[in-house]
Amino acid sequence: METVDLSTEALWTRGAAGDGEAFGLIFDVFRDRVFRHAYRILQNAHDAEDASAVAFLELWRRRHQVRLVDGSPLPWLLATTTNSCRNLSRAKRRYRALLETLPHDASSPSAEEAALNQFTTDRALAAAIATLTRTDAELFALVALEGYSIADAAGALGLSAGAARTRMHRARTSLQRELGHDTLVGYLSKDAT
Amino acid sequence: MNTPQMNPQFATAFRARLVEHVTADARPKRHRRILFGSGFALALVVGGTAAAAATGLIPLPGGTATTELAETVSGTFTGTAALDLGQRPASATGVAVSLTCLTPGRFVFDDGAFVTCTSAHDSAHPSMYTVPADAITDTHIGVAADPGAVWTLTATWVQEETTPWAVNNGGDTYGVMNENGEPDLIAVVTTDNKPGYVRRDDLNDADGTTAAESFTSPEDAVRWQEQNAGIVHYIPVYESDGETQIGVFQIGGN
Repeated sequence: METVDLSTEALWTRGAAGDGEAFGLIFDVFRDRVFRHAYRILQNAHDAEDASAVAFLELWRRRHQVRLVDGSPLPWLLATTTNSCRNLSRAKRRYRALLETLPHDASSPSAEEAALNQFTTDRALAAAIATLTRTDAELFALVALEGYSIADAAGALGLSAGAARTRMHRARTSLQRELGHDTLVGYLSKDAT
Repeated sequence: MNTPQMNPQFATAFRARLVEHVTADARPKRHRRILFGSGFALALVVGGTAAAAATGLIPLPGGTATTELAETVSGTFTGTAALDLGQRPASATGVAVSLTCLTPGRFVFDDGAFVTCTSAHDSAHPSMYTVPADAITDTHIGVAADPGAVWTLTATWVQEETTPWAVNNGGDTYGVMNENGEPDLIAVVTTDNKPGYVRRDDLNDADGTTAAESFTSPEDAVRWQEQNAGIVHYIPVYESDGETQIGVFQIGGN
């Protein structure tokens, strides 16, 4: 019996080869994770939508450089999302024509925003991410926000595990010194497993 | 627990654009460059379809032999419209089209290939192209254009076959670049408009293909382009024997 292989790895293989529909399925699978990640950093639904869109477009543009972790492009995609959030206006420039055609919800976001408010405790974390260098921010967001092990995050970013541990230590020290906010304690003291 | 979610309208619209973007971007670049590369590639490197269509001559080795399978139909339209081609012959592989834009605008075929006309001058030069049959739904060939854009389309069902490259006495293949790659001697037109062939290795060295093999990032490519901007290379053009030089081929510059 022949079955269609819908595993992430198979989708990625097809998508990266230029199969538009496979890329659409990759979007379906990861869009909520990517949007949530962007929202936690940006605290604004419209911006988070744009940052997510940029991340998926970058996933295509840089498809030959994507590093898979356990066959999945998700960690790389999340790291790219972190970076899009940090430089949103610059990141959007490349795709301005495409992004301008997309409908943002024009209605009052109040009800939705209320549901999102529980994420406002991430605000200090978002500010913290902006103070780190690109690679440190990508690494820190993968480990602290998304719960990846340092080894997996390092794999997605092309770092050795040792270098990633050094960077995480440096990032934590820097953040504790500059932004030692209560809400950060959980993230900052978290030991990666 | 409520978790934030992407606005469904935004998600649906973006998904459609993403699929479209990937599909269009994944198409071989050379295909579009031969047809629409602002005259550059069309004028210099002789493309299979373009050469046959433009000159009406028997195609060069490796070029496309095109057989018309139905009567030619044509019409003039404003905005997005479609032309009825009549019943699809079983052996059709595509639809040969000749599009003349009567106003400036962007005219997109069913497979995503497009023609951009910027001035009245473009009206004097129809764009020839073959839309693959699998991009055509039922019997209509469509062109998407801005509401006010005016265009004339002539089209017919065709069967296209790629002819094999020829081999000279030295054992080198010669002919035009096609989906099988590049022959040893690639058909070009010299700076004084004589048809001939350049050696593939000479062309690759001059146009950056060789350099591109050592690129490890898009930044490398940008740097190479910047370093080579404005530099004009001339490489020898030979007869099909690959030895008798008949002129030169220009790469870079205007």
